[in-house]
Amino acid sequence: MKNFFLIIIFLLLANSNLFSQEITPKNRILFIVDYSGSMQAMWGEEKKFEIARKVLFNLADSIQKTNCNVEIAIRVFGHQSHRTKNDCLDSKLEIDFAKSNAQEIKSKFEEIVAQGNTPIAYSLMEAAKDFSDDKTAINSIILITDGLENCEGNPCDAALDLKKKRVSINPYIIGLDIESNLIQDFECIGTFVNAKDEETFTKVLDIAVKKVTKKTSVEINLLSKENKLISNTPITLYNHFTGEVVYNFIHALDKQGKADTIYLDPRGVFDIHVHTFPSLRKNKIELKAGEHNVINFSVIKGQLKFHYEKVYDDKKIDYILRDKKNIEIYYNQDVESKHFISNKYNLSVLTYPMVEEFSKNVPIEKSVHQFIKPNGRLVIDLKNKVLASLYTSKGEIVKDFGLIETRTDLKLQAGKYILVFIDKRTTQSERTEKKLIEIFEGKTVLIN
Amino acid sequence: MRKQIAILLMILLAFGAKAQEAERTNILFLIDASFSMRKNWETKSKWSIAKETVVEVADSLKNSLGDNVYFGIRAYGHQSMPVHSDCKDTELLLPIAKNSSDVLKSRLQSITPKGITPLAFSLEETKKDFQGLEGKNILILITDGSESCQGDPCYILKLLMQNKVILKPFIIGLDIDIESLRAYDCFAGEVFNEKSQKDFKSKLHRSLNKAITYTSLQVNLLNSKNEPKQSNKVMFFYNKKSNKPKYVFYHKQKKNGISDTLFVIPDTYKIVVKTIPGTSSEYFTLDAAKHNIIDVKAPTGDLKIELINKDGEIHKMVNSLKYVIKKKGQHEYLHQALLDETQSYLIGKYDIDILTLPPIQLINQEIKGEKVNKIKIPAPGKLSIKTTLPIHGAVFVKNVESLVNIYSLKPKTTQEFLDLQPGKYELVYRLSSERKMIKTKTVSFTIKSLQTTKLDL
Repeated sequence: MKNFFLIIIFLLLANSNLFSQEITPKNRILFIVDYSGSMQAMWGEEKKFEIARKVLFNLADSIQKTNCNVEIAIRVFGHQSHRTKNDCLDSKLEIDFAKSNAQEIKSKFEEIVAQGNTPIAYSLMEAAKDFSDDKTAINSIILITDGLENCEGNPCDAALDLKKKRVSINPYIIGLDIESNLIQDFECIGTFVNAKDEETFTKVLDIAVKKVTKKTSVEINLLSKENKLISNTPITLYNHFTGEVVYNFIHALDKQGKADTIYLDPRGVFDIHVHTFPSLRKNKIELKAGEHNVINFSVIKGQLKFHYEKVYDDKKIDYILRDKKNIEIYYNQDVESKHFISNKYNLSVLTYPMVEEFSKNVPIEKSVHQFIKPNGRLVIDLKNKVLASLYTSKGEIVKDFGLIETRTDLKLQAGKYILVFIDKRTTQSERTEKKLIEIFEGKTVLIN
Repeated sequence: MRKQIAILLMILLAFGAKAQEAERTNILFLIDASFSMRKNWETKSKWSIAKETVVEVADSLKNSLGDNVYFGIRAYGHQSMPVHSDCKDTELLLPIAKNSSDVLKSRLQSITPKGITPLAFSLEETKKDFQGLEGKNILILITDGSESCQGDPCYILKLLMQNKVILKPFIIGLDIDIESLRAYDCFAGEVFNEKSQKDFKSKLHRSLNKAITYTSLQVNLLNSKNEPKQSNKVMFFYNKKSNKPKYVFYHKQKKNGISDTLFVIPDTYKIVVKTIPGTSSEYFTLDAAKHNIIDVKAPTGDLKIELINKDGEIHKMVNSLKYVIKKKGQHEYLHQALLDETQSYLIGKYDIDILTLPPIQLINQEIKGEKVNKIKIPAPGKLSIKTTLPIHGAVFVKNVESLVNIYSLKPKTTQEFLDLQPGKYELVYRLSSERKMIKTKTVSFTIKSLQTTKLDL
C-alpha cells in the first residue's frame, strides 16, 4: 500500500489595526511540518518527508517569485530527538519569516532528519509566538502531518486557544494520506483535506495558499419585509470570546443599492450586533477565509411617531421606551431615525400623570402614531403655606407637592383631578381641603 | 388688640361605654355662672347669651337626635360671692332626664352669676352626673374664662379621657384674651374668631351636630420602627359601598405628638395612606359609642438623587434631569421626579432609572425609613460635534468589556450637542455620501463632568 503524505495546513491570520479597517495584503504563512519518525515511510516512489520538502520548496519558490507580499516561515516538529527519547517538546521554528527564503528552506530541510514524536498541540501553541506582533499582516498556518498527536497535548484545545487569541482563523490541515477513521480527530482543529498522493498534495497545498492570500469578503444585509434593504445603521463585530470590539461600521449601500461589500480579517469567532432598537444579534459567527460571506439580518422595521402640540414653554415630550425584557432603555431620542424592530416594547410617556403602555406592538412596516394631548396648567398661589398633593379622579397620586411656599405650577394632561391641601400650621385634620379641578388643553386653572 | 373676651365655648364630648347603637344620648350642660358672665357682648350680657345658647342647642339636638335625648345642667360659681373664694361652688341643677328646653330655661332663670370659676373641680364632679346612665354621654361646657382655683382642667380632662371620655373642644370666641386661652392649650383645637353672635351660634350648631352624630377616631401612622410618629400624609377613607373615598384627610399630629382626632360617620372603612406607593389598612369597623384608635403602617424614607462634580461637591443643575422609579422587579413605573428634589417613598427596594445619557439603571436600591437616602451621580459633561460635511454616526460608551451603542446621530447631521455622563466613548461615523462601509471612522473621546469635549471632524 502506498503511503501518502498528508500535509496539514494551518492558516494564521494576523491582527489588523482596529482603527484602520482596511485589510492590507501582506501575508505571512507559517508551515508546520511533521518530521516525526513515521514520515520515513514510503509514499509512492519516495519517502513522505522527501516529498513534503520537495513540494514545499517548489511552492515557496514559486510564491515568492510571483507575490512579493508573502513571507514564509517553517516550523518543524519531531526532527531533533529520536522517538525513543520520547521528546514531546521537539518543535522548533527552523526558518523565520522572510520574503525570499526558499533556498534557505531547501538547505534546512536537507540538514534535518525525520525521526521523533508528533507533538501537534505543543507546536500549535508555540506557533502563536512565531508571529511577531505585526498588526498589518495576515497570518496563516498550514499544518502538514501524516498522523495523530502522540504526546500528551490536545490539538483541539490548542486550536481553540489560537482562535480565542485571534492568532489564526480555521487552520488548514493537509493530511498525508491519513486513515479515514482518524480524519474526524482533525476536524476540530480546522479545515482538513486528505491528500492521497503527491499530485493531490501539490494541488491541495496550492489551493490552501491561494485561499490564504485571498481576501475574505463580507456582505451584511439588513432585510426588511419583502427583502428591501435598510441601511445607515451602526453595526459592531465583537470577539465572541473576549467581548472586545473588532469592527465598527455605519452600514452603507453601494451605488446599485446593494449592501456594500467589505473585506475583513476573518480570524476568530464573531458576535455581530446590529444597533436597531432593540439590537439584533447573531453570535458565534465564523467567517470563511478567502471566500465571500453573506450574513442576513431580518430587520422588520416599524416606526413610532410622536404627535404632540407644544403649549406654554414645553421643551419636548419626555418618554422612555423599553424592550420587553427591560434590558435596553431608549430615552428621548429621535425615534423616527432609529430603526425599530417589529416587536413588543413598553412605552412610558412622562407627562403628568404618566402614560404607560405595555407590550405596545409596532406592526410590520407600519407606523404607530402615539398621540399625546397638549397639556393644560395648574397654578397654585395661596396666601398661606400649605401641604398639597394632586390625585386623579380615581384617587391615584399624580404629584406630591410637599410643602408649597411660593407660587407653584404644574403642566398636566387634560382631565379631572382632586387637589388635597391643608394649611401647614394647623394640627387639625378637619382643616383638610379638597378641590375638584378640571384641566383643559392649553388652559390654566388658578387656585388661590 | 381688643380685650374683648367673648364667650368661650368648649364642647367636651364624653362617651360612656356600652351604648349599642347610640340611640340614647345624654347631654349635660356645664355652665359658667361666675361673676364675669355678667359682662356684655354686643348688646346682651354673656349670661343671657349663655342661657339662649343652652335652649337653642337643646332644641337643635332634639331635632337631629330625635326623641331619645336626655338633658341635664350643672353650673358653677353661682352660689357664693367671689370674696368667699369657694372652690367647691358647683351644683347639679338638673339631673339628666327627658327635660324639655322649657324646663332647662326656667331652671337657668333661677340662678344668677356670682362667684369664681372652679372649672377643674366641676369637671371632676360630672363623672357622678353620668354614672350608671346608658347611651352616649356628651358634656357641653360654656365658659368665658379660665380656671380660678387651684385645679388643673387639663389633668382632669386627661383623667376623663382615660375613662373613655374624649375631648374635642371647640372654642368659639371673639378676640379672645390669649392668656386665658393658654389654659386650654392641652386640649385646645381652634379658636373660631367670629365677628358676631350670629356667626358664633351657627358655628356652634355645626360643631355640635358633628360631634354628636359622628364617632371619633385616631389614626396612628406607624414608621419603620412601628412608632406612631409618621404624619402629614394624606389618608383616603373607603367604605364598602363605594369606590370613591368617603373622606380625605391630611394626617396631623398635635404638638405633643398625639394624632389628631377625626370625626367620621360610624361605618366599616379601610384607609389608604397616599404614600408612594400607597399603603392600605384592612377593613375595620368603628365602634359608634367609643373612641377608636387604628394603627396603620406607613413607613417612609426620603430619596434624593444629587449631582456631584469631579471633586465630589454637590452641583446644582440648570437643566432638570429626571428619574423614574418602580418597585424592584416590577414593570410599571410608580413615579417620576426631578433630581435634586427630595421625595418621600414607602420603605423598600426599588429600581431607579436615572434619565441621563447613557441612562443609569440602579436596581434593588433600598430606601430606608426616617432618613434621606442619597444617591450621588456625576454631573454630565457636554459633547459638541461639528463637521464640515454631513455624517451618519452613532455614539458608543466604553464599558468594562464592551462598547454599547447609546445614541444615533440625526441622519446627515453636521452639528450636534449632547449631555453625556463622564466616561470614555467612541464616535463611529462615516460621511453620509460615502458608500463604502470600510470608510467608517472611529474617534475616541472622554467626557468629564461639567466640561465640554469638542469634536471637530
